[in-house]
Amino acid sequence: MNRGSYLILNNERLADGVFEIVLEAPEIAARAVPGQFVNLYLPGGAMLLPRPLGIADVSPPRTVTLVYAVVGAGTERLSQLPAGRRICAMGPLGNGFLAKIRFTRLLLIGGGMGAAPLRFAARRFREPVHSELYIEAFLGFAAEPWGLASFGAACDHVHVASDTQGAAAFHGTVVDLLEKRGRFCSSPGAGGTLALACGPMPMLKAAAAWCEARGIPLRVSLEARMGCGYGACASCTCETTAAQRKKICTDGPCFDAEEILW
Amino acid sequence: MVSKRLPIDVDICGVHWKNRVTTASGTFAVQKRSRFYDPSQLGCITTKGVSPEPWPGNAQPRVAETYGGMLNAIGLENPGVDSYLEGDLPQLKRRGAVVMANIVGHAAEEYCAVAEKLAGSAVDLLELNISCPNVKEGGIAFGTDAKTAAALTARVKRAAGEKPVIVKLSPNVTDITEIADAVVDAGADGLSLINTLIGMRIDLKTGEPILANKTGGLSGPAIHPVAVRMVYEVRRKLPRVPIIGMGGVMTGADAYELLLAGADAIAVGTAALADPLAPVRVAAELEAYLSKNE
Repeated sequence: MNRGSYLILNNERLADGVFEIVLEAPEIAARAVPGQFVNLYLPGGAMLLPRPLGIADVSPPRTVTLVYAVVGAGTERLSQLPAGRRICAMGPLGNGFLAKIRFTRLLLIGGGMGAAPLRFAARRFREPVHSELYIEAFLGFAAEPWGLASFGAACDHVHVASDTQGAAAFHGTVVDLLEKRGRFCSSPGAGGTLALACGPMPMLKAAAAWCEARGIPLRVSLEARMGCGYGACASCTCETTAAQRKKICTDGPCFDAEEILW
Repeated sequence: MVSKRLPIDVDICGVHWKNRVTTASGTFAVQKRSRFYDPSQLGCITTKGVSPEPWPGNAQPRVAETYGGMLNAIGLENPGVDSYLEGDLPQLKRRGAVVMANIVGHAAEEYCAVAEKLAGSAVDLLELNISCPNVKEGGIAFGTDAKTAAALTARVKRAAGEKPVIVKLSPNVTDITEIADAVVDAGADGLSLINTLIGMRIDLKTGEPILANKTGGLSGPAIHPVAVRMVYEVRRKLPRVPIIGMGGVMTGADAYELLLAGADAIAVGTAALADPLAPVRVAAELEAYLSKNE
């Protein structure tokens, strides 16, 4: 893991209240895997705690892309930092999706900002070594969708649920979307399929139940309010089937869905 | 600049620290491999509060940022003393660290049970936590009344055998010197101060407290002047007791200020959550201050 001051190459609005920041961070870019996150530290000293953001893309050998929603004073300040400035960052942090099973079909299930790490996963799994892989994304947005072009480029199919789009759009939850539009998943014998999900806890819980009912292994990336993001403060622990509670920042953020006590 | 002639290293209750910097409890991650620095680089590593049995801690959210600081209400989540004796402690000792174990309990018997188990261990010092504001029983309930604090100190001292017992004091009292005096009378070998100040933040959208526990402990640079004042007051009342000063130390200058106030050593806490390397950076900066004044 690296901590340092990195050049902001771009920091622009993607959708209403959603921004994308691109850092020139070769050390982080070289080591990042999908599902990991980066801590950003705001300048000034009044806001001390890091903003842990899932890695939305990496372009080796130099750049790391993070997507964030403006939800408070810290992310508001972050959205105002112009390209050309430097920002302190630490990463990559956390374990990543790291699926150990063999799969030929990849199901990406994302809600809101949870789409960010899935975007990196889609791109990375689309690389030549995985070219036979069939990738289908199911994305739910409570507000304006974002990043669909990147998903479109990396996935065989992209399905979107959004309550703010017109009558033609799918209205409902991302799990409703899976149920209605999932092509291969509802067929018997979904073997060889792996699902990755990231988003708010209720969405993940519903996705876990949906996948379990169909025998599809699922890796989830948990969102949590973190203190340090590197395992020191115990702010973000969760209860799992293991005897000890686990730290989302260092034991996760990605877990097998069956490890989590929903 | 006012000079204070102090060596870089220090003896705290008979235990040699190579420098005057430790970690504040609950802010250091013990790992199999050192990701950030070797723990033997600091005078001492103070580990997170340990209880006789595993504690799950409080509901989430457990942290909230504040201007120049943060609130936490972790609730002393820890895997229990047996896990500590098998895991964190031997790992730190193998790497040559001086270790102070912060100990917690819901009742005097629980504090004593932890102290008894640690009495025969490789731990160097015990830090008796009577000041955590985030647990309903124990913690601060022992630290805000002089008689209760003294009685607990005396019992834990007996349970701890040869291990020096440092009592960590709460700033959430009218007169911290009264508690300091009482625990030293009861046998405390040293004092740590200050723990966090009780605070609250409210979510403007919901009108509800941000923390699930409603209140939490305020730490970070915002509380540094309170720490300086309290160390100063306790030092005036108790000229000889070893004092570890803590509260919002971000830099070597902050650390040096606490030494000028009367502390013998200092702890770095919240700064380490913002930068894992803060404790070793503060140690290097403090060394520069002390060398300048030799």
